[in-house]
Amino acid sequence: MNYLAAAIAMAPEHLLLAGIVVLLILEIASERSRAALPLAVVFVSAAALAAALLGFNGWTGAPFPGQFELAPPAAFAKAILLALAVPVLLASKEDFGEGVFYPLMLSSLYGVCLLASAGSFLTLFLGIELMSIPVYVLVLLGMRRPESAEAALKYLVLSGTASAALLMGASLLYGATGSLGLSSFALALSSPDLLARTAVVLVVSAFFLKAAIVPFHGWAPDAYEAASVPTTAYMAVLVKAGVLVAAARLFGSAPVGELLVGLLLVLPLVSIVWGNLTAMRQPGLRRMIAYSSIAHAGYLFFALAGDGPGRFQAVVFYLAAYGVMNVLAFAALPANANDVERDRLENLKGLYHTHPFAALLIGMAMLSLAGIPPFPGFIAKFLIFKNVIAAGYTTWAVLGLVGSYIGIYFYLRVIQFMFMSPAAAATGHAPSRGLAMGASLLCLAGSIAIALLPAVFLARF
Amino acid sequence: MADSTILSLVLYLPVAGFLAIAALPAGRDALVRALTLGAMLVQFALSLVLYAHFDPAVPGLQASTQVAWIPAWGVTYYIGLDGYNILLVLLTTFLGPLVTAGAFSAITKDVKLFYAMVFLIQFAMLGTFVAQDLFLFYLFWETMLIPMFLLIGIWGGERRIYATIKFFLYTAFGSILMLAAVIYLVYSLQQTTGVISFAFADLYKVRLPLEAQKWLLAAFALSFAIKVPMVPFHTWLPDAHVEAPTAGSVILAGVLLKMGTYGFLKLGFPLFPDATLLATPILSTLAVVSIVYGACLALVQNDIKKIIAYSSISHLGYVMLGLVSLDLLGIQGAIVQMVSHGLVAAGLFLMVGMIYERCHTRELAAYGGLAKVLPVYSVFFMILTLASVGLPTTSGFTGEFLALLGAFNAGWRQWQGGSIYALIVAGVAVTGVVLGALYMLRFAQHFLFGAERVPHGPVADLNLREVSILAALAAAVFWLGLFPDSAMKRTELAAREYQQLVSAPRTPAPTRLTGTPPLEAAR
Amino acid sequence: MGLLTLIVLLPLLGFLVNGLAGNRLGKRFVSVVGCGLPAIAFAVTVKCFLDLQAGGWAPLAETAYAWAVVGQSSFEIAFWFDRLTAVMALVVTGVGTLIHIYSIGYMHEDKSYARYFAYLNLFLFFMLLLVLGKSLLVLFVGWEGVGLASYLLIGFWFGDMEKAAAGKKAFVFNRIGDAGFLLGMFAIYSALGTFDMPAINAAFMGASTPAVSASLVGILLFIGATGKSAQIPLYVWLPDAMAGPTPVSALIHAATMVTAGVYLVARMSGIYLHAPEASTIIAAVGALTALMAATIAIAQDDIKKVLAYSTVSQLGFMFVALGVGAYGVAIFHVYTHAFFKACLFLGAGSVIHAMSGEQDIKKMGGLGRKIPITFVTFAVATAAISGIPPLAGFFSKDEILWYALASGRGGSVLLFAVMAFTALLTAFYMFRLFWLTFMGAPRMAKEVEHHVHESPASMTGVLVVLAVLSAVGGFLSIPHFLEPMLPLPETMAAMQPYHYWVMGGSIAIAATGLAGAIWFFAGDASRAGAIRAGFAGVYRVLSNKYYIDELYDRLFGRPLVWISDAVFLRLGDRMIIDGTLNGLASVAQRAAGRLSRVQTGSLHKYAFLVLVGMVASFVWMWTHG
Repeated sequence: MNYLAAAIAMAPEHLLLAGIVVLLILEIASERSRAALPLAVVFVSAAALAAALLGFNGWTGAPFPGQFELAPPAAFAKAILLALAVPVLLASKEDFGEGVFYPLMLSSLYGVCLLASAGSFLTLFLGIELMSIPVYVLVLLGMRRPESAEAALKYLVLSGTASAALLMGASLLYGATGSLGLSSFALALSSPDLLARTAVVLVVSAFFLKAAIVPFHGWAPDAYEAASVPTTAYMAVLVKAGVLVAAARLFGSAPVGELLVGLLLVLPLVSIVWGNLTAMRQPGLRRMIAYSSIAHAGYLFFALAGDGPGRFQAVVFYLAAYGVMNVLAFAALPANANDVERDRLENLKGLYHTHPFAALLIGMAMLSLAGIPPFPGFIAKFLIFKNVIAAGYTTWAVLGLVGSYIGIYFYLRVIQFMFMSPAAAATGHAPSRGLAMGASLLCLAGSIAIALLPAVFLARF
Repeated sequence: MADSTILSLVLYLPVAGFLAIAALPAGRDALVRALTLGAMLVQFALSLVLYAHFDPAVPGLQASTQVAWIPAWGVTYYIGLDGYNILLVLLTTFLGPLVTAGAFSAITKDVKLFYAMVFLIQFAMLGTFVAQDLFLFYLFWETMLIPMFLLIGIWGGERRIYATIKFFLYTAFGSILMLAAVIYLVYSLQQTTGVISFAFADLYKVRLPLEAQKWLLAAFALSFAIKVPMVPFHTWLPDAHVEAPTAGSVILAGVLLKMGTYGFLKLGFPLFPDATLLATPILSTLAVVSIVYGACLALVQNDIKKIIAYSSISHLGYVMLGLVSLDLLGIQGAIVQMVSHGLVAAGLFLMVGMIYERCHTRELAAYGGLAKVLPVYSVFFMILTLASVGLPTTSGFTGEFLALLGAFNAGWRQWQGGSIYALIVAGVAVTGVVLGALYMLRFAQHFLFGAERVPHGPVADLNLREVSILAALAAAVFWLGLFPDSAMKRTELAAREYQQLVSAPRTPAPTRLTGTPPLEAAR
Repeated sequence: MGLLTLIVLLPLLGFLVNGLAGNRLGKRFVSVVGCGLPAIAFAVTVKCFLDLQAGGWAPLAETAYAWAVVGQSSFEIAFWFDRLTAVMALVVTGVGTLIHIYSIGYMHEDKSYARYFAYLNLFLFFMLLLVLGKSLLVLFVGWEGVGLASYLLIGFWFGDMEKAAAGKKAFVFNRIGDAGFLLGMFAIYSALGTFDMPAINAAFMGASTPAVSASLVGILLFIGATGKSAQIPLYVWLPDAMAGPTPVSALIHAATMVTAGVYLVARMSGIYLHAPEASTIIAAVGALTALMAATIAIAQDDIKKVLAYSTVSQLGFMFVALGVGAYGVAIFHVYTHAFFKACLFLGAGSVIHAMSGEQDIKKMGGLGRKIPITFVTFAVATAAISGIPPLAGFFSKDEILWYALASGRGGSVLLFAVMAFTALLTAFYMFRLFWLTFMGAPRMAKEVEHHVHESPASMTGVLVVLAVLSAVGGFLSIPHFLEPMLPLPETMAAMQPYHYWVMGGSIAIAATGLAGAIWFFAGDASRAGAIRAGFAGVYRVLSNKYYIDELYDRLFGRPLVWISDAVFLRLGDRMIIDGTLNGLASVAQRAAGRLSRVQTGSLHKYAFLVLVGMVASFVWMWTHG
């Protein structure tokens, strides 16, 4: 095999690795170093850049045949996801003065990158675990609160179940098809063989678990709420992204039969409705976003029902649009000494009068997540349902859209609180710092770019 | 300067204004007001130029701009003027300055945000009218909700939250189904013709099987009917109007409702002719029900804003009646009636706002004998009332008369053809003329005449700003009442095209669509 | 700009000047503008009349501008001046001008003097549109416009609700008629594709009958007429309309506007000649209205109310004439009626002026000596309306009676009998009014009595002119003048011998009425009192106008409000529609509550859910396929 090729193809991963190493050394060398954050940002951006370059140069190949493949779409996917991680890092300043956060996050990102170019179930599994395990820790050390520990445990256990299911499915597939290549899954999709079909169910439910699809979603709200704001943002955006990119790769462009579509769409549909309904009653932004992300996971799986070639594009585009707005919401959220108080919706009342800029940004984020034009969220949703209808599942699309309609209300509720209610008494919100501001501006720029020139992004996949 | 450039200027001036006042530091309210008014006036002037340059003899688009936007989806940035939208664009830009000036004294809280929203909604509404690409149309159509949501929600009255959420969810529901329909429609176009495009002109060519047409029309119609609004999809309107600040009500009644009727005129009916012809009895019935129902409800309201709100429902019933008549007179009448209602309802809401600023109540019973106390106010109020009643020489007459005449003509033709239903419907619609007089004169009688009752009086009569606003409106009302021809010349070709598109049904293609039609997919 | 357009625009100019600037320019200026422009309009009309004559009576036509052009159909604002127009226009401008002049004196004290004249001019403008219009559309514009003017003038003193209510009532009842009118227009348009009245008449007179039943159109248009001309069932607004200033009652609610319906039918005679059913209905309605109004008039004590009902009754006479095809005769009565009824109203105005606002004839009496000019002119007019030869009323009424009996187009003994009886009643209640007002002993309060004074010259002068006109006006035979365009119906041979009997009879009727009135009301009107006591029930019914207003309120007014409020608003809007929506919303809320309760935080539960999910998936997978 060609080392140079490997070196080039895996440049983003290598950069991340380097970042991890450097950060660890730094961690050991000095407590509370200022350099951690900038370094992390530098390495991640560099990785993103590298991925983008690979994409633009149309680098295609498999340095580790059957395990690790790279094609421009995957490269761009990595670029986008890594880019999304940058504002998350920037926004984490308030919460993570100490450096330990950064190596963890970078290694998790490494997992995400692996997922984006996994060629076999082994890489896939490796990626998923590499992505998830650091997050358990992140949740754990999110806040020194008993809830965090408990939530982290739940996450660990259920996520573990997912891994187990994945492994089981993979081994059954191996039994059925004699290969661990992702393509074997595609074969299994259309095979009448019971074994294969069972494997498919196992794998799919593993992904449902990871992506928090009802009824596999139990862990998500607790974990999201227990984690500190940047961790939540990271989970809601990048972990979800990793899982779905993997799913998209897994399904590739394999035809999905009528029957499987039922399986593939029923639960996502349920979680769209469930998530959107339940979000109405949530007291805190994080918990609300948790449910909203359950619903969004639903839309994302709808993308897999579209015709083959469009799937990856739809998924990544949706992730970009959804992610950028989600991060924006969290980045714009004014800092607060008390992390629990920080995102209580009650405390957002009258935010426009205390932090107009933050209110406007969060408002935009909410509308975008609700899928209201002209924000990116709409265009992304449009793309997904366009594909679904084009694939002939009009009724499913209509149901999905109606489900998404239910969601509008709770997003509006946030705006109502921020703009239409009298300011809440002493929320203890501090004016957001430069970095967080920078992060949100970054997201804003990104979302505007996506909204105005979607074609530029779409053309890459 | 090329007309297309002017049109883009007209469209984007609000955006510029939006950014400009967003950039201003807080607390510069006077400057914000002046800036907004200025921008609006310039915009109106420019659109007057467009109106003057508009060539009635040229069919199709004028001053159009088309730029590829999302080629992969066949989405283009495509705007232009035609007979369908020229008057509505003019109406929108005409009301802009009036709304702005009207709010000078009323809005003192969050002035910056307020005018930003006014700019935004102006942009969205104009966009909806000039868009020639379905995707773009939908984008603007939905965007409009956001500023209106905030306008009602922030500066509204007691129950503003309920009203504004109701407004948003009501309208959004229609739009969601419309979105599905839009996608399905475009996809069908691609299937049948191989072209993938959202341009109206291309979509007019789609040949859908009747079954599909029914579903799509239903989806579009629901969305538009909610916006119009037609009974029974109207209950958001009274709440929205009552709670909205004056500017909100004016925009709502003046332009926003027209988006619904415009939608029917430009999209709903021409896109699905066969289904439309099939549904005509239902639609015309709904139209007449709206006319009568709205009028009856207006008759028993004691909140002066509600009276006007319900009268809007009634007046837009005439528009729908004219549109479904497919008679050239009726269509032209409908178009004029749209503009007329825009002027009259806007005017009445402005006047309610003016009195509300003085007396702080909307209770009809609280007023009386204003004619003595506020002579100038009363004169304008009378003019608008009579226009709303549809008295000759006012715009209301032109619209209602032609719409009714058209409906009757159509009914007559069908009667010769053996079915009398349409004729009866038209006949019933005429009773709206009586009911209209009933509720508006009841309003005027308790408002202007009788013993003097002026809450929080004594109050001053209209000031120069208010007089000039109303004078402008009155002038427009009489212009459209006495000399409607210059306007109708410009819409005639569009009216003909619409008539031809709908009444000359495109026979469905023999081959059914590949991909599962809406019904089957369920199983 | 042609002369016809000029005629129309002159009053409009007056309206604009007085309306916009009046108050600032002082009463003198207002009067000059307000009366001058109508006077000029009258002069121009005369000029047009002469032109018409010079042109061998060939109609003058001129087009102001195209109001709207839609496809093939072009709606033009065009004017038309033929014999019929000439009569109407002369009456409108002539009598109109006189009444304007009268108003100078009458309204002199009023503070909204300018507004008054502005409205009066506005009325004249629309009335002239109505008469001069060449197409039904223009006519309709005028038709609605005069309604507006009348609305504004009835509610002129908007101080009290009564007047405002009366104005609204007038407008709404007119609107009901207009709805019918509109339908008629639409039917005509759908069938003929034009609103041009000469063309429409031609179409109906032509060889090939149009694709629309003449009777249908005729009836629909007549519904409009019943509104404007206060016929059953829509007459109820006219008596209330007396709330307006008296000159207004004279001009609008006696001389001109209310005769618009008559004009319409005459103008559209082409249709009615081919609509026997419609004509029969018109005759019947006319006769019934005439009789009913006359009976009511007997029992009214308000001087203006009496005149109002007499107007309704006289309009009934006109419609009878129309109904039997004697269009010229109807217009003849319009013309004479304009003189004597205007004279009567203005006389009444002068009386009210003298009595410092008192309108109840019970509180009058013996005014004859105190206000001689008013007295004399009123006497002449009364005699004229009662049909005493050789005054104007005699000729027109006599012809109506004759054609009611003898017309080959639906004349009949019954119709004649009814009209004759009505004529009798007319003479009776008019002389009753006259007697109670001017004769006998004064019944008014002392201070009122010594305050009584004759009106200024501007008023009495007009009275005299009108009195003269109502005296000699009848010698100008309008029917004969109009015959070339509105031929009189041929009379039934069988009836010919009775022509002079009828004439004699109508004289006798008038005399009887006069005598009866005197006999009843001479002295202290004790005999009348006795009768009234004798027929208390009848009297109550009559003085309460047969309770028609109450009936309408019960039948239409209240049900409408009830349905709107109880059914549409409470049931429809609030319960059904909003009820459903709010219901759905609360369902969603409750569901949300349920679902979020699943999130207990217990790991076991989550694990269990996962298990359920997987099992379900397996089952699905295995069961399907």
